[in-house]
Amino acid sequence: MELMRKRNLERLAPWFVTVLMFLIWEVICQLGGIPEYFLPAPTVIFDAMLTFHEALIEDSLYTLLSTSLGFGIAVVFGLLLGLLIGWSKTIYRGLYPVMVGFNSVPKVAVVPILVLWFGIGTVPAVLTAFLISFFPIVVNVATGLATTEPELEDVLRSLGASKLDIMLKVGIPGAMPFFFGSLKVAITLAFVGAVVSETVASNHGVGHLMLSAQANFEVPLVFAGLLVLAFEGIVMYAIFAAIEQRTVHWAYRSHQ
Amino acid sequence: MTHFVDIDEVSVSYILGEPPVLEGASLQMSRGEFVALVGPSGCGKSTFMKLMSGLLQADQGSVVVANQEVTRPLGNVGMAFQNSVMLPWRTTLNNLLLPLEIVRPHRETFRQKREAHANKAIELLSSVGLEDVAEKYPWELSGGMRQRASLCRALIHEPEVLMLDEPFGALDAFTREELWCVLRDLWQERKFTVLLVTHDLIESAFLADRVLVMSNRPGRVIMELEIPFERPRDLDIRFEKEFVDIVHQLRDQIRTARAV
Repeated sequence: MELMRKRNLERLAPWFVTVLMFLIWEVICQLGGIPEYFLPAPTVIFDAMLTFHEALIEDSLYTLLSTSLGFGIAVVFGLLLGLLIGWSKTIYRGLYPVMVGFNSVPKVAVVPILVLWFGIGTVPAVLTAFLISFFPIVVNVATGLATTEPELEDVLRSLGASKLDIMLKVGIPGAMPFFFGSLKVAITLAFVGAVVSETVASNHGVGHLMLSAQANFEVPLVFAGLLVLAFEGIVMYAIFAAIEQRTVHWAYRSHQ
Repeated sequence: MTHFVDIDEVSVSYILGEPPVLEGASLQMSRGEFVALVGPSGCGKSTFMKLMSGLLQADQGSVVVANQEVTRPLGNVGMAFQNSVMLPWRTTLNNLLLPLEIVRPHRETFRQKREAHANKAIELLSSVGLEDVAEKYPWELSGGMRQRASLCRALIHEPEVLMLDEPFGALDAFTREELWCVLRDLWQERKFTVLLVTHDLIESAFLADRVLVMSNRPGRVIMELEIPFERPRDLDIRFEKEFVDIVHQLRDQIRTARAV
């Protein structure tokens, strides 16, 4: 009974915290007399959401599309590059500084270049989402491959296994928890990338919507855009967390 | 007479310029013999195993197994370590089948013969009392069960040589005794050639035909002792005077070896 109650509490905690956060926000805005153009109260934002729901839905789907495309490319590319880096120490040594350097460049600074090459719109958003989200995937896959137990490698090598055998039988399956773990991080980063690019150079998407709302001084709509983004991020994160649980359940149960 | 395993005067150093791990070390084994290798830690016991399995090439000297110079991994060896290193995403049964997916000639026909292999694996599991856990994952097993499964995996492809690197080191005393008997019975039945690396002198004397003592680094075999007891041996043999004497003798040797 006691345990049940504890479990229920655990399950309800995220909802509870979210509602509480909005409540505190509302109270602060109402009691503090904070002007709407500075920080609108949640009720005001929800109201703006209703009013502009068509634009919000259209733009958020647009952002979701750019994000997913960029993320998709990042998954394929990140996985391949991660495997390549995990395969050979020389490749690892050679590529790592370049990649770290690349990752250190703020992606917002890359957008103008992408616009120069591809024009404004979807392509820069997709590419920015890709550029910002592939790094954690690469690093995690490579790390996962590096954690192959040396004794297991000895067992397989003594049986005459080739490097490819070891990679296929042990390395790649063993790296999967790292890979799926990185997807959760990467998908949220992909959102950041897509929105950054939309804000700078697009006529569509939540980023663009928020920028125009700000220009029109529709502050509640700006915040509505933020909330929609947060919501999309949470949903995608949850989806990938669920996929992770399903595909590499062994990595979790073994800790129990 | 040519030996089944003949390691002659080998030297190995991992890092150039550092003192070698093995220097002028020799080891001979007959087919079907059970040899235990004991010695101070870091004396290169595991290096011997790597040489024999072809994972490592000696800088000097020769390694011959079954009349064949070992220059690359041969495939006809099985290995088990202190850590059972099972793949957590595979069931125990599929872990056992792993060597058959790799080793020649089985790998080419693995898919066609999967069922036959699985039956063989289950038979092997039964012989160590694990028939019920074939479909369980390694992390659902106890340490002793995992180690049994690890032994089975080392034997599934019927290797001629079994190499064990402190396979019982991480187990509690009772489980260890149980597994000594498991190994004893498996060996009695199949008579593979075993090299057992261990710190446990009682273990070495209980299981082996011959115990080799190694010196401090750079390692060499400095003494060997035939263990004369009849087989199959009973666990209680450990408390007989002759057995205790042998263990004492081994211990004195190692103490001298460490002191050098």
